[in-house]
Amino acid sequence: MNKCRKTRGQLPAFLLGELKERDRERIEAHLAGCPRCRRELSGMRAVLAGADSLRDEITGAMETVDWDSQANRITDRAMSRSDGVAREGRRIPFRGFLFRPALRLAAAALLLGVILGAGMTWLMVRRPAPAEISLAEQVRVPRSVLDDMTVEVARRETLDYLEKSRYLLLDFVQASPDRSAGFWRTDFAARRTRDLLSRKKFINPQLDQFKMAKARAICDQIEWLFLELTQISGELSAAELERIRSLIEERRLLLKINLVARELKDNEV
Amino acid sequence: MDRIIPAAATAGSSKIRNMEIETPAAGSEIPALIERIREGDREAFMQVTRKYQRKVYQMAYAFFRNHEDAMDIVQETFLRFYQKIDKFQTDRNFQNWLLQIARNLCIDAYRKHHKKGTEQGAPLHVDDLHLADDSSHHFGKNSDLKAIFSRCLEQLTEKQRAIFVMKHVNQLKYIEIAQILNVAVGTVKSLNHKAIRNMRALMSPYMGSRL
Repeated sequence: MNKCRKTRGQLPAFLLGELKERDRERIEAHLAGCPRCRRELSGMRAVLAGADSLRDEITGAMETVDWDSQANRITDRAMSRSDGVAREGRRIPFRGFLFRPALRLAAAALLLGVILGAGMTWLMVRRPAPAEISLAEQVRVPRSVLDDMTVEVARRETLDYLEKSRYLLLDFVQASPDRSAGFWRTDFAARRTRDLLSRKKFINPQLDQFKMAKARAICDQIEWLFLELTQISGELSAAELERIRSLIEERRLLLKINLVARELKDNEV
Repeated sequence: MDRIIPAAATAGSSKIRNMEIETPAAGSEIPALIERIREGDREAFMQVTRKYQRKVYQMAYAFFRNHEDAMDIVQETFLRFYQKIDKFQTDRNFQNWLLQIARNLCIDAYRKHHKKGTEQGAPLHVDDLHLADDSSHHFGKNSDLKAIFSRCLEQLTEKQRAIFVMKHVNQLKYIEIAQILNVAVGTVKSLNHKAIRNMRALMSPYMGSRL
């Protein structure tokens, strides 16, 4: 089993011919005797075949374009845009303009005024240096890093929500009917359910903002189930208990939670 | 059992010849062209556009799977290139720099329009999860490899998708991708492997007995 796990981890590198001779031979030997890993390999081949088909599609689409006219159009637009507009980063001869004879006196007066003004302002507003500097004022983080961090937070929040929901739902499936009914009548269960319902409201915008449609769908189902439970938990009859239990089982909610959670874990930013 | 040969060793070179790979010789004319463009030379700008527009298109098309969006990105990339040309350092790889602009534009456009459209317009229902053991309900409904591939590609994270597309569709080298994304080569490699594994996991329920 461990061998399988190790082999599967290296299958992409094997498929792309990126492994050393010794590792390649080891994997070949394992594949010869392991049909599941062979199936995994052919699945990955299908992925690369999908990339090939996309490349073919692009080649086909490219043939429909008149690239010379396209280049011409782009050039026209670029050149027309540049008229009267300085390109980013282009150095404007500011010093030459400022120190031309006619403006020398005015520039000197302006400079003197700025220096005096700055000095006075400093004297008036200076305060003792703060004991500590706010991190927010000092740290400059690239936007992409911040984006990744936000996605990562959303991912972890969702994972946590799924985990906690899973534990609650496990009660219906694993505990005996009497125990389960008793548990759902307690304040603890009601509090937990309400807590998870409010957390769901909190993660909703994040699920929408990022590409987490599957997680959103499964979380919606859990939310719907919890809503049902909050409405009936005070007087949960055996019939209702059985109905909820069969709903969880029919929809294979726990399995789906596991799958989505695993996918979220795999897609670590 | 037949000897199992990695795909990289057997992949036909027919696909590769469609892609224009920048050779050192081909790239060596770039500093001179850039200098001419900086001086406002229209012909030099057009020459660069002609040379690289297909490369940008490939990346944008793979990103959006849509001709119109890809053409918009091509145009916007070259306009942005012209706008930022004074910032380009001639010791950098021009193609990578240009593709970095294209990639950023793709992501911006995707965040602005597509993500909203795909998630709100066609929400993915939980039953679309296609669990492995109830696969019989779903196989055959959407057996087109391209459609399946495309749908699964959408579900990768932005970074994994970008790397997968650049590696397997644009056929860039790891080092080129690393330069474009400004990350270490090892990171690119490991995210590419992760993307393949995730794609396999996402595609497997749709593929049924084929795999």
